[in-house]
Amino acid sequence: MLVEIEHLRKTYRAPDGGDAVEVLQDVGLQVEDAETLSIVGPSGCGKSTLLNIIGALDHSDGGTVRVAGQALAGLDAAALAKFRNETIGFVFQLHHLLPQCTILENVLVPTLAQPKAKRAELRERGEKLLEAVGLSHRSGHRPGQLSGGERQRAAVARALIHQPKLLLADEPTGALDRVNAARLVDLLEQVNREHRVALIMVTHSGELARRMSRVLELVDGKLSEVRA
Amino acid sequence: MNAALIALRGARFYWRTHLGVVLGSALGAMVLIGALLVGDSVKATLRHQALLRVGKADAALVSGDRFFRQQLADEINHSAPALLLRGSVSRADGSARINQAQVLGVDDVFWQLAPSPGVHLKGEELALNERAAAQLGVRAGDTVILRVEKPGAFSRDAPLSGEESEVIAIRVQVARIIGDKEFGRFSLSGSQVPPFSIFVPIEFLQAKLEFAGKANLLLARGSSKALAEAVKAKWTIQDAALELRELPHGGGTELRTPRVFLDAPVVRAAPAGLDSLTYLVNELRFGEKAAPYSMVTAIDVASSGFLPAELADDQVVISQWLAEDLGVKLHERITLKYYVMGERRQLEEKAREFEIVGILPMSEPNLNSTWMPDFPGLSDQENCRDWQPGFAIDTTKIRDQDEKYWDDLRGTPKAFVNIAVGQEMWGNRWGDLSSIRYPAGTASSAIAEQLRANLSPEQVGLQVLPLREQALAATDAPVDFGELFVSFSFFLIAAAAVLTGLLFVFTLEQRNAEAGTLLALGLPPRLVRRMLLGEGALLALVGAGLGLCGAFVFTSLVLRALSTVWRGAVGAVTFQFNAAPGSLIGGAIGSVAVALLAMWVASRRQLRRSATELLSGEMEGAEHRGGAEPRAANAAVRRRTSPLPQVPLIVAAGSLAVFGVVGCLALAALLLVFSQEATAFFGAGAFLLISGLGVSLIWLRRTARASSSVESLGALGVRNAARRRGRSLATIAVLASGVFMVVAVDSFRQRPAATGRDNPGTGGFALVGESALPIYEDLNTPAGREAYGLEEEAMREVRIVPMRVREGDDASCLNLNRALQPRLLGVKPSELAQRGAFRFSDGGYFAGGEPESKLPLTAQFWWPRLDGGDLEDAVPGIVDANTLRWALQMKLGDTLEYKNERGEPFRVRFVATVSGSILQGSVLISEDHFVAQFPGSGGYRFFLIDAPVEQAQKVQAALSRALEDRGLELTPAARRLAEFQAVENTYLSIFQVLGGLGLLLGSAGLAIVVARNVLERRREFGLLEAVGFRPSQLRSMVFAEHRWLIATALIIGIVSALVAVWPGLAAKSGSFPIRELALLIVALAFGCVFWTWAATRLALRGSAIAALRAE
Repeated sequence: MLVEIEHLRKTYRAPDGGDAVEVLQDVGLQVEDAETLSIVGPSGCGKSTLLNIIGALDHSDGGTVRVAGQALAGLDAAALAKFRNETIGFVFQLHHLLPQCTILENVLVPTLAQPKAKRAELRERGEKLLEAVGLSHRSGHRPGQLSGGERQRAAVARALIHQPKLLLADEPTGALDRVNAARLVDLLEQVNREHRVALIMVTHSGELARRMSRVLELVDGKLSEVRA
Repeated sequence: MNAALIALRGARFYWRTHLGVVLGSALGAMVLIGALLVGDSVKATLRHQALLRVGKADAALVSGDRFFRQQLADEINHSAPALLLRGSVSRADGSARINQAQVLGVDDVFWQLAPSPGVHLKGEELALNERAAAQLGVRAGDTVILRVEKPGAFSRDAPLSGEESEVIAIRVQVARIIGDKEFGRFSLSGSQVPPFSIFVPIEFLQAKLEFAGKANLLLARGSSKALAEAVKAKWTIQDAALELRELPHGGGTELRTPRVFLDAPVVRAAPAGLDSLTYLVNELRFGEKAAPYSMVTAIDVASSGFLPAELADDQVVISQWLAEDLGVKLHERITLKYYVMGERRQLEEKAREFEIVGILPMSEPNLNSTWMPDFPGLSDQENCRDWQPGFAIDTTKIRDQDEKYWDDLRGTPKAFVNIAVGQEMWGNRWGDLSSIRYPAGTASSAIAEQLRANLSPEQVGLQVLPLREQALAATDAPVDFGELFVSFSFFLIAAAAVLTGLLFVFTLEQRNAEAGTLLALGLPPRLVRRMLLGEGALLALVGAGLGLCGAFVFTSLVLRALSTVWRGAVGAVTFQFNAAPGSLIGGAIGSVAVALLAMWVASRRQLRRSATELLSGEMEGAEHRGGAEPRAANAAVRRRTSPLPQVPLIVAAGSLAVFGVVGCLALAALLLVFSQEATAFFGAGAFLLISGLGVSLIWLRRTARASSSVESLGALGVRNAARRRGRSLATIAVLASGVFMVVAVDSFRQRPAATGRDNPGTGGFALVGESALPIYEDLNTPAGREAYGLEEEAMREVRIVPMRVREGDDASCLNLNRALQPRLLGVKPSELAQRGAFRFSDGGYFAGGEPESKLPLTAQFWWPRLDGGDLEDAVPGIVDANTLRWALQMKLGDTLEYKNERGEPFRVRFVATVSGSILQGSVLISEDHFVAQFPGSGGYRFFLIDAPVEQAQKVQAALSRALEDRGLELTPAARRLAEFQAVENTYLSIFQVLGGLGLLLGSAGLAIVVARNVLERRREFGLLEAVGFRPSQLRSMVFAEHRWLIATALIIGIVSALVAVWPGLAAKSGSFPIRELALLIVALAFGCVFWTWAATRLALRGSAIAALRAE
């Protein structure tokens, strides 16, 4: 089992102690290796929070989260960073590419966390990934010279540079038009097939959500399966 | 691809955004490096001046008031003899005068030692250095009158030293003006201001002074050790003012001195012989009969060979002539009357009875005039009535037989007493023997050789100085101008650092998502921080490079100011620019470190944010760009709970608070520097400032809670200001504190001293005087006044405290050089104690080494301590507190080593300090200790003159006129004090100017606060625009909000500062720089308003509705 979540809880509290909002209530989730699933739900329901907790970007207030056999609770910041770097790939709504670096350099940014890695090998892998996402001709360009869809594809390549076991995509098509959004999901499915990487995608689009093997809905802090 | 490359790429990619950071860093670097270069330039200038001062001479032989053979210089290779005297010089028409001039008789060898040889003075030519020429306003071809004292063989304080000093006036044409490179700055002591120097050919000066072949200064190349060895090898007993003469009729050889009394070291070093002491007694009386003014010799009777083997202390052997003159017989008693010299040449007549135990026939060969030393004004006179022994003689007592005796027998003693008795009666600090006689057959050369072997040149006053070494050591100024200007520029550097930090964090905020992404991708937070700070370091490096160029301009401006508007701190010195590589590199590194530290401090919290916080911040930004679906409640709650939006403001407020706190520390340091009591007014002002801030806080709280309706945009702006109390209060506090510090520091400005007798700084004295030539008489006595033709009426109620002077370095704040051997003043402590002169700031060192506390800090207690001894073999000394602390960099109880006249070291231990006084620059010891160490020095050259305030000018005129020949220069004590105070005041002005500039620069930080306030509330402004407000109205509202903060801050700062500086303002003395400070405040107000306006316009560019649409 790649992801195992039990009794997960998360509450946001106002600074004065009042107005607590429990966005995740006793959430349970299990994800197999190379499985794809989408999470849908109304705005502000806690989808991104759940994704962030799985991706070790946020802490839960209760319950257990194990990803790739690693319990996330109790890990310090450095260990969490190492975990993210080795296990998780992120694709955000916005690409967040470094504008000062080329596309290839952006793809290689996560490798900076491993000072002893073999640069030549990583570079070769980066080029292959760019080729895989159809951007090999753009590898020396800056993000500002690419279209929105191209930038998101570059972000996907960046997410795969470390061959993660789990790819987390938080509304990856949110800033794209319909055509580019469909292309991006094609790409994510292709990645899932070819790289055997599990994919969890948060989206508002029912159409895109249904392209995943499972669809989960988060409503009032409860996670429930919509379609098996 | 590595972190450094990303940092480099980031620095290049965001260069426009980073421009502010680079400029902030450059500004800080410019000021920091520039301040260090000011230090370099001052050091280099002092060093240059020191090298000009000593020229090519490395060492010097000085003998002060003693004189050696000029020929000694010929015997020591490459050395130049000189006659160094003090004197005065005036224009021929008397329209200009220099009272304290250094008169140098020199030859061509001296000019060869000049930095740029080439001067040649011939015949009766005279040259002036540039300073003297400028002071007199003379050029080559003009005529001047030079006055110098004819040097005496020995101290004129000594008994029988001859008539009062003789001043020689020389009228001569100025042949040329000597430039600095030609040796115009020559001096034995270090100061950035050269002495007034007069140069004449040495032979010319010797001829005028009838002092042929004599010198008291020798300059040489090579090490001082080599010179010392050469002097030791070449000196003769003539150089020690000793002579060996063959006595007539095979009477043997006699060791004697033109100084009359043989120095104690000479007596100890000389081979054993017949000791004698011959003295002029006032009379030898038997009943009604008296023989006036006769020589009496005290002698070692046992070794004399012509006197009884023993003479009791009350027994005398007289000559047949005296026996007949007085009509006395053996075993009758005669009375011997003689003068002893008391303090200040006060003669005291003493008498002693002796029984006649022998009468020598006039045929006795030893009864001759050779016993009489060469008393000045006596030995060479034809008649008794022409005698000038140094005291008034009653010529009516001189009889014909006395004149005949003088004609026939000259100074042949009329009586002989036991040597011990003679020494008891006539021994003094100059010696207690007038000759030592050796039997016939004793070789003079053997005696001389033994003297040379047993005496060191130093013991006879020949002291070798490592001139060049000392000159260079003196350039190690006690005040490091580099450090001084770094501290004075603190506000500027801090303002630049704060701006750099704020701008850096501002740029980071624009790139939150970038940092968030890197963290989300698993890059360790430390690596991300390193990357971003690495980028900052690159910017700081570029800034340092630009600052380096700016530093040259900054330094040049400061040096120019120091030579002009700030000359009060350094005297009239033109500094030369100098940049030491160490300062450039160190300054650049320091400025990069400061900038980096500022960036780190400012961005510390920002860089600690989690990836989600940083990314969500970006999402907010994305919404502003439009198109994204809004987030719902949890996102809103998260934003509320997240500290992210407040980060830059907290950082800004924190940075500004640090700015203020460190500023307070700088102020505290400044207070220490000036060691002045914090006045009650300053304290009241500070409390008012704090109270004002407290009231502001309360008002902000009330305004925030106000339930009344907002009826205008301005009122809405004020309500907004109250919304974030911390930020608003920080803005008010920083501005108000800055204004307060820069203005209120003026309360520590030294005000002109009152001229009254209760002024502790002047000691209550009206005038301070220094004479070029010593004054021997007591000007407090009718006799002393009469000697100079001073009218009693003019001197009514005038008391003069004279002090002896041992020349040394000026250790006052007027001298930039390090004072290695400060001038010593010998004072009679009771004269200062009686009048309670000066205010003691500290005191407590007595024998035993332990400071004693709880001792009264009164003049009556401390001045008499100078007479004490047994301070672990040190002489007690009192010094001005500023001199001790800053010029000498010592503390109470420390000792300073001097060499006395005999070359022996002695220490002065500082037992107490006076504060803020005209005594700055000198070390005071008691007159008794002074004369014990320097018995050869005669007379007084420093005077404190007490006179009724209304009479002071008349007294000054009368004394100046009467003592013109002595080169007496009188200055009102209040003015002298003001000269010292001007240094401190100028430093305060520099602090105010640089601090003011820092404050102006710091006001730019307000723009960042304003911009953040606006950007944070863009949606709010969008709403207002949506409901019909025009953009110009929104700008007015923001402007009103911040205008209120600025006005409140300035009012609090100005009012509290005015309270602090009230005494200076109320004094209406003109010393308060009201125009400059008003200009600063107006400029500051304009600066704040401008920055607020500019930031408001920039932040509210375009329509704010887009932000609202994003919601």
